[in-house]
Amino acid sequence: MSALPKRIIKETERLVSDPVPGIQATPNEDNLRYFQVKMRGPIQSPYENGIFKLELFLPDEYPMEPPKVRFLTKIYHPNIDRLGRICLDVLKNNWSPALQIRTILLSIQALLATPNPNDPLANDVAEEWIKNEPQAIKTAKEWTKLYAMNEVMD
Amino acid sequence: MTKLDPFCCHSIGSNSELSYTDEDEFYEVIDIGKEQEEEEKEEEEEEEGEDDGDTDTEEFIFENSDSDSDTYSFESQFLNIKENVLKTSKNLSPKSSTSNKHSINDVKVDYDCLNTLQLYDMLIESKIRRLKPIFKISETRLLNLLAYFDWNEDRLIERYTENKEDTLSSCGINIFGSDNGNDIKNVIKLEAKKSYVCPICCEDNLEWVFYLKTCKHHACQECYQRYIKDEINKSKLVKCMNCDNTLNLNDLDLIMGDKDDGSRKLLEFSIRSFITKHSDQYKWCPFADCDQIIHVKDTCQLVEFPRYHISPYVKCNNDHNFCFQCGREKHAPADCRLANNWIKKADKESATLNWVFANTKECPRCSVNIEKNGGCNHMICGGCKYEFCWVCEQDWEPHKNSFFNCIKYEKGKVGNNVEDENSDSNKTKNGKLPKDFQKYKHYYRLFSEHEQSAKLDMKLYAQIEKKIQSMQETVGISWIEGQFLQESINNLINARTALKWSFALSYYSDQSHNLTKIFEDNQLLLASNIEELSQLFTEKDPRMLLEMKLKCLNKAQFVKARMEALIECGRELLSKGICS
Ligand SMILES: [Zn+2]
Ligand SMILES: [Zn+2]
Ligand SMILES: [Zn+2]
Ligand SMILES: [Zn+2]
Ligand SMILES: [Zn+2]
Ligand SMILES: [Zn+2]
Repeated sequence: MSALPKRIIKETERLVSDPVPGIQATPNEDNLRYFQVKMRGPIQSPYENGIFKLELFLPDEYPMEPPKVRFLTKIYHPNIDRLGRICLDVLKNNWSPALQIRTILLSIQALLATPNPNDPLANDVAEEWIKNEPQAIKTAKEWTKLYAMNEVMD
Repeated sequence: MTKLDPFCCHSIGSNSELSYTDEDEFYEVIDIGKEQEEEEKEEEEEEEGEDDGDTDTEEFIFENSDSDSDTYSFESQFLNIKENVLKTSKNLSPKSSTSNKHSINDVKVDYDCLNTLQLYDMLIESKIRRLKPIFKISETRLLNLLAYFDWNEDRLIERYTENKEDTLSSCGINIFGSDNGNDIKNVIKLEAKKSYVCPICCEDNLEWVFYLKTCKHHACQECYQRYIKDEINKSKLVKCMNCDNTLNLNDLDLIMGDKDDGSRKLLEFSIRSFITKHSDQYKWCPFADCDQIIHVKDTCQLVEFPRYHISPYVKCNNDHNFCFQCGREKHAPADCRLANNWIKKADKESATLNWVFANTKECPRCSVNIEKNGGCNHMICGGCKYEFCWVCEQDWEPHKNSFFNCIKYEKGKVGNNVEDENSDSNKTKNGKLPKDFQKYKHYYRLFSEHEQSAKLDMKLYAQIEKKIQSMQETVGISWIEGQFLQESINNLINARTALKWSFALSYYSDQSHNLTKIFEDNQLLLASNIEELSQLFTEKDPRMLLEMKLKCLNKAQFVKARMEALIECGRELLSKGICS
């Protein structure tokens, strides 16, 4: 493996020394491009009190290419599918090399606070969200209790 | 095409006498044959001592042209081929079409071939000059702007009159406050200070930094170059990495330091979008790696073609022939409709057919593996010297006289190219074969084999070209001397393509009709001459090839004439509704 670019070293240092509130990103010891992420569900969202695990990988072309991020914890959300893949513009077309790991993670946290069923990735969830929002929110809360309550932030 | 009627009262094998009244035309064609024959004889005399065991098909025909033969023999079959062929040639002569007011000769398409830069100039001339006084921005900028508005000038002007600043800034153009509204250089290139750290890669000790004047964002040269390379392929505009500010075309060139990667790429993007938007008039050459554009000025001209069952073939500056109507390679004698049906059918049936094209086959006699390294289908086994045909895997001997058995489809014929009707692989889901599946399979196989052969001919030619080039360097042979090969191979490949498509016609034709029989005779004659020409190229020694110049050119000329006759005959089939 080639030497780690300065950009990644700098970002990692800052993520550790000056962490984003409610988000914890730890680089893998064997592969410094691979991060274990824990994210606190935003307050007053159906994911409140949950702690969600994600994985983040920086491809060779980073920062020209966006990082690859995926939820590992099961989550009921119209823009996140069963495999944990996230539908978020900054992770695709709207990526810019000026964005960073921390900005991306903040965007994902914001997505949890404001689901967008009109631009869905998980179609069945989005359908339910539009048809019967209170029910969908209830399911999201139940899933949070079921799957996202066994983790703690370090 | 009123002249065709005499065909109908003429049946194959019934009469060996030439029923021609117009003797001039008759001799005209004979002369062509004689000429070729004589030239070939001359050559053979030059190559003294050569055992002249093989009889040329043409010679064979003409030597026997006076003999009487009442039985249906090879000779009479050939006479008929010749006769039919002559009739087609007759139809080709311009005389036959003078009676018609709206003649096929009037059907043509005028076109230009342009490259991207020429199209760019044309667009500047035709579109931009008119818009420039309104917008007061540079020409290239305007082109970007138009591309951004999908070439809808009216919408652009409308939006612009509504709100100038918004319209421009929505596409990232920031000209206000600039001198004259001309292309502002937004980016400045600066030598990097020792302490400078690029915010994108976090590297220090850099050479160059690029600053955007309008937004003060910056990055190092390497980051900007990598960024632009990615960005330029996916959008009409390249924005600042940090905000919505746009880089101007001159900025891109400044950063890339190379016109090819910079503004030219972005212009190409604009031009691509223009062509997509105006695809009725502009088409990219469909050949791989060719960037030529064909422009048809008057699309009304295209309307006439289908009526005559011909297609508007165009040729780009790189000598690629294609059909402007359907964007396929030249598909004559098939017209666009038939070509389309044939290809659609092939797509549909491909799962059932499941053909794998091998470039090696076992010798039918001794099972030694033989590789096909050129288009020529006349194979000679390296082991047992058995001569066979690659396509039908039968003895080559009868092919010398006629490709009849190889090409002609006969119901229930048992041969290598017609497999057992009951074999499982041919069955559809319900276990039944489509009605004419065997017939289709027969012709599709021929179609595909000749397609492969054309590709192999091309490949072989590339090798020959290399050999001759090296000879040019070592022995000092002029390149001009090898030029005839290019011409001959072009004829060969065009003819193979025509032969290939003629099998699509055969499939859709009414086999019982006389004209279909004439068409098939033309097919046989073309097929055998194609293989003869193709065989010349299998010569391994480039010196020998150069010595065969005259033979090669004559053969190529003849193949070309036969191809044209076949195409014309196919057109008759289509226009008479015998093939549909
Ligand atoms: Zn940089
Ligand atoms: Zn900026
Ligand atoms: Zn071309
Ligand atoms: Zn066509
Ligand atoms: Zn053999
Ligand atoms: Zn054959």
